[in-house]
Amino acid sequence: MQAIPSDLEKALIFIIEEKLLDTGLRLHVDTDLFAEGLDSMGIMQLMILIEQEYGVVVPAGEVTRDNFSTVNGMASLLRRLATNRS
Amino acid sequence: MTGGRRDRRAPLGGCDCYLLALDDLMRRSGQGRHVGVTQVEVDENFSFVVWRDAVERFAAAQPILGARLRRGWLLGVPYWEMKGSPGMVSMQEHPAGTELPTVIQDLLRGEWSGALRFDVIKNESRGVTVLMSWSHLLFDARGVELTLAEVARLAADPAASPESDSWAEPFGRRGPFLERFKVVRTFVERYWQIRSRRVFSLGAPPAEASAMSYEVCRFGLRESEAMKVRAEPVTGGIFALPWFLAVAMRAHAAVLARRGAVDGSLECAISVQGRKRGARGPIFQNQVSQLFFSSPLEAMADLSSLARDLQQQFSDMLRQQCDAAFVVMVDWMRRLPAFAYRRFVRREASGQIVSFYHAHTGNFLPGVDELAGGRILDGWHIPSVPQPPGTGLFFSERGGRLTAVVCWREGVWSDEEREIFKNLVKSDLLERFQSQVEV
Repeated sequence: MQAIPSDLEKALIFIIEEKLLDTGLRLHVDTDLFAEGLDSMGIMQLMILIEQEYGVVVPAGEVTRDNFSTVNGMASLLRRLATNRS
Repeated sequence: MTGGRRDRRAPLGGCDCYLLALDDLMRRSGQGRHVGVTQVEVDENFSFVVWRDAVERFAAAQPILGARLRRGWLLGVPYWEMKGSPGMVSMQEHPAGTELPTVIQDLLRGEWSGALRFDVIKNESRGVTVLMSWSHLLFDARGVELTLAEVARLAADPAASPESDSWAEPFGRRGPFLERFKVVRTFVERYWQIRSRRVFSLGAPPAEASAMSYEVCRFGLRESEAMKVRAEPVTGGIFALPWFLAVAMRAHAAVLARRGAVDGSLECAISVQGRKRGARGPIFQNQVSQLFFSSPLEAMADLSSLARDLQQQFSDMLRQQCDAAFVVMVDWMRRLPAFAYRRFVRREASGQIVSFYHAHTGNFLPGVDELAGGRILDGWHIPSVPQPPGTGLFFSERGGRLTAVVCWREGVWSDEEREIFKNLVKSDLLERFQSQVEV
């Protein structure tokens, strides 16, 4: 388990492209992931991957479309949760 | 995906073998094959000739559609043997006025040859119904939609080259035996924990073969939106799986309660896709794992708390890598002959693998607007279900509209019990009946 890296957005894009999403296009921090085909089960898998990688548990109340529709949104959420934790 | 594999073998994956055993169980009890029918409603601009041409081009590039199932000597892994001939797909255009439910029920018996078939029926409302019938040995729900998307692409462009040989090597975790053994143990421990309580289903093993029946409930846009709002405190507007599974569990529990069942549990296996989202392949074979959910009957009283508990089960199973464990386990079981699976199901699982079948396959055919010139109006899957358990509840969406499909074996419940089931599904989804629900 490692701390939240400064280039979290890049790391998230790597995880999503490596494990979950194959669109044939490069993802960007503001790509609409749902429009690209990421489904709800994919989001849940991603949350567990994030938890295992960075030790950040996303509370059920934070699992919203706003927080998870872009890499930017996810990164903001994870940084906020990591700050609150420490 | 690889090209140029005309005279090759495609080994069955672990989940294919699991479904092969299920197919075998169904055949031996006179329930036909394990097949499904996918129904797509399109407008009157659909061209049968264009669709037939596209299907022929698709099949010509996919010899696995004409392959024969073989098994190696003694404990060899089953495989599809391709002899270089193009795939076989039957196509039939039915005259206007053909009774659609009768055609679908006939198709669900699985008495057609091959692994894929298309039927096209003109509706009285000038629209057209396209039915894709498929064998579960070669297709899962995502594979069905990838097939439709690929044929739609070929139909839209007569010069387009078809994807070829879209099957995959069995997927799953590789690595040292001990590591995989530890992973499998996670699944085995969970399975026996689930089985420590009596597991109910609505259908006992049939004394004689019973036919498949189904009913499609299509909800309007406003109703579908209202369902999402109602579920949002639990789903967060994203993760609907536990909510719909809870709805399916409670509907089954209501019928069981009517029968006086107490002190037992319901068990349901949910498929987890192995393909990456957005990928165009592989089209064929079952690229899934399964997660096994279980809840006691006494937990069925409140929909929200049941859904939250199922959500927790989902997270726990992912943390424990139960999805990976299932893949490794069925990968090991690939060499088992069908009778060994049957023996396990009859002796260890009291004749039933799950309490009922359930899936929410998400957006139906995302990104595809037309089939052979006909605008897609709606679509859903109608899988056959083995008995036991004899029932299934399946959901999908198209254009923001939810469709529920109830599938069952004749005799598994009375008309009154089926009404109890349907009414609870609708009232759980909508809280109360709103406007007109099309059934």
